[in-house]
Amino acid sequence: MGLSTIASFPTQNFGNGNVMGEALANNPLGIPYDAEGNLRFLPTNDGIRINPLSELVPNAFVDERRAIRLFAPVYLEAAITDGLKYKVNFGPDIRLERRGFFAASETNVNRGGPPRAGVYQQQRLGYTLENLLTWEKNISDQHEFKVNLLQSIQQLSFEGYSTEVSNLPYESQLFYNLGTAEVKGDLFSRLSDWQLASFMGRINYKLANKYNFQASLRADGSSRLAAGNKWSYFPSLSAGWRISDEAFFQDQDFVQELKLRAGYGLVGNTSIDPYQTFGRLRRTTYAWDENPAFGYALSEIPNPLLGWETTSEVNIGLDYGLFNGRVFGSLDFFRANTTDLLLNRNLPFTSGYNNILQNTGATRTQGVEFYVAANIINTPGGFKWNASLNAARLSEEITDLALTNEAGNPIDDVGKGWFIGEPIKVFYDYEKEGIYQLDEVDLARDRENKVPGEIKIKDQLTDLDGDGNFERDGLITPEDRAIIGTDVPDILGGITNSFEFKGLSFRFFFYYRLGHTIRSRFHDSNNTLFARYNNLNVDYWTPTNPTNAYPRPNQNQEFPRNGSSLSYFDGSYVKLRNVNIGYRFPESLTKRIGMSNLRVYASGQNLWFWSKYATFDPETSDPDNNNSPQIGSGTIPSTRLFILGISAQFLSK
Amino acid sequence: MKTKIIGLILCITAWTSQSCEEYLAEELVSDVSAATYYSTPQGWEDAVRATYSAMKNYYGVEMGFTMTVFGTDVHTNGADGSHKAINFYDNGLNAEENYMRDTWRGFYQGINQANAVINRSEGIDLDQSVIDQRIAEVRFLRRLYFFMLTRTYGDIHLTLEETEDVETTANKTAASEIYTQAIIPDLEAAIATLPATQSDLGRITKPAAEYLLGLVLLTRSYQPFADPNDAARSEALFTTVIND
Repeated sequence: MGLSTIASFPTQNFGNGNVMGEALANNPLGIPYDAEGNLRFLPTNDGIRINPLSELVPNAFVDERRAIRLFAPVYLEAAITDGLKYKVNFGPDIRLERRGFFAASETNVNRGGPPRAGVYQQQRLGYTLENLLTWEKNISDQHEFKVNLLQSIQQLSFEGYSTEVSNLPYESQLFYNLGTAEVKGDLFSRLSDWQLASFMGRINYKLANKYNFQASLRADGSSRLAAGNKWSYFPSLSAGWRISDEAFFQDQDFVQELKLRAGYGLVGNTSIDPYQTFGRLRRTTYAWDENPAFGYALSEIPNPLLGWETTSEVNIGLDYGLFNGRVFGSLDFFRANTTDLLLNRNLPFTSGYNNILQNTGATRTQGVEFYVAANIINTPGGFKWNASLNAARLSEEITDLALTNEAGNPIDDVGKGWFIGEPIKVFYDYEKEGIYQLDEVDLARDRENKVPGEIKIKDQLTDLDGDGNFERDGLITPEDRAIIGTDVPDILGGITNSFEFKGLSFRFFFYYRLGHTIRSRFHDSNNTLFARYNNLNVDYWTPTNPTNAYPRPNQNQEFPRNGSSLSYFDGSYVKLRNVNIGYRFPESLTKRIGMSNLRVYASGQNLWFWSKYATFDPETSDPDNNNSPQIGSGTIPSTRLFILGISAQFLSK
Repeated sequence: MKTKIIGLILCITAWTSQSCEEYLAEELVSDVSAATYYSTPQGWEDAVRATYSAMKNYYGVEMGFTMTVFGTDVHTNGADGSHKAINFYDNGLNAEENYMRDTWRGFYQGINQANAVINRSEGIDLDQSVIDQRIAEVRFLRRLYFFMLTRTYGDIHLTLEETEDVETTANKTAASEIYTQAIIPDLEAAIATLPATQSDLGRITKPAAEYLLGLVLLTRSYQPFADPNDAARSEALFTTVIND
């Protein structure tokens, strides 16, 4: 029987996401402080640009998030007969989150209006219960059997509440007296539950310690899927062969260890929001004169067929050890075919709906992974140098989609940006060819109704008349959009080095991801060439500066036309992700103060990076758009983190 | 040892006593679905009110006047602001322009909502006179939405049935057919059913239906597919509205 408990209680002030954007967009001629040294809320006479420093006044903007987590798994194990064991695992997981929000009058969200505040509470009560039977039997030295039977259930229950108010009488209360607010704003509460149930059986058989076979079958049921399609079966098979233990392998001493592995299996995915099969209604607003006339409108088509997304994967791997174990590693190939993808499929708006969550389409991912590690130096004096490298290359492609042509073959879903033979996430847009120059007046007008100084879009080869011949039609139409890149890298992996001498240790880890495309909204949102807001310092076109880099500025534009074509970059990077230096005190010393282990260390994260994308660390995501690998207009560059720590283990009496 | 085993057996029976189907059943608590809510009088009335709200999405925000009077003498763009392609008539005025999409989408949502109200009116526990009147209201709204769509886009998709299953194709129906099939007949029916005044200010009345039919006929009178009587009928309807 055993019990362990993990409790955590972090509190963090998330601060304000507007500081960076305001700092970038403010006119450099603005005056941040008045003669007395007080902040000027509007540094210029542009009412839309506020002082970024006002957001940083203590307690002007508070977004305090507190999370309480308690995870306390307990297990009970009993030997029923010889070789037969029974185990129960029960893992309750409790997460409580509270977010307190306050924005004073002089902040971006209020722009001098009355202060507002809100409190958001979330509870997630979850548990996993597993019943596990294990039977082991060895028949002589040659045959080893192991059978596992598992039954498990899992549940997560979510409740959320929030209150938002505005026009608070005094700012010093922050979000701690919402009742005093003049305007009671949005109230919210919500309940959302899901359950999973599983049964699984697995057989392991080992022959002569050289051949290893495993077969398993699991049945999973998910509450989130439609009735009748909640359950599915997922079998798997695998085998291993220790080639190095064969007699014919003993004649050489170059390779000490060689093992071949192969496997095939199905796994399911049901990670979608609950209740999506019901066809929920959407609340609408209207008014009869001064009286509210709320209604409920159709917004989802019920999907009585929603079922499991299934991935079938084949993998073949090789483990190796050379030079008496000084060099070891592995090589793996895999191919995964995912079918019945849980995707929101776009529908024609004429149906009255936007999309439906369906099991639609299929993808194929295949790749190769390589790992090598080496004990490079290991002196009798106690100096050690270990290094390892891993590299992976994978390709991803859509192989099937719901839409088909007359011949029944799947066709691209341009509206969703899904293309047969391409990864799920591609950047599909017009491609910049250059800038229209002064002698291209006619071309600019005829091709895309533009004038010199504007972005020249590439006239792609298209087959508009469907005769199978691709030609340039001399016009820029939506057909001229093209796939500019994907977020799938050519290669990714890491390199680790560690040095040890007596108690001293030094480790560092590089991570790399090469050959993928990112979209940088930083480079179009801050590059409006409009002169109202601050702009990136770019080589822009004028009649006397006939560049092909950036278009002409204009007094009458939010964005240069086709400005998004300036926002695609090679996102490759190499990064020093972690460095750790430490000293472990000798045991003879620590024993005297009742410790088995005492180590002091200093570590740093994100200390250095190299990137083709010159602006800042490209490994960052847009906080407003988690699904899209893009850098936001006001993204805060990634932070360096330094940690000093002590790790101690005490002797038990 | 014995007590331990009994304890374990209890553990096993504890989870088997509730069936898997029960354990995995989903219960919608925070939200409602059309299947359960629209069959109640309150839910059906809410479906009617939702049909009205499609107007708000167009007339209540910039979209309505941007789509109608932008690029005319009435209204032009400022230095800053969006949707300027609609004023400039330049290459940004295409199907990618948000308002071109949102107008199309919003009115077809309204049309589907109206179709759903009519489709689900059977067996609602309300007075038949109330049901008839509400149906006349949503029919008026459906005609209005078709009228706005055909005025903006010409030949369009015609649907008079609620979408109840995945629908992946649209039809292209000639504008003349939209007028004769979808707009004019039901406006005539609405005029016959609707009351002269409504207790909720803003609900469709008989004069509103007469006015809209007048406008529809006047609009059709200068189309190539006009009926020779359109202008005269229109004048008669407008006269009725003014006099009553």
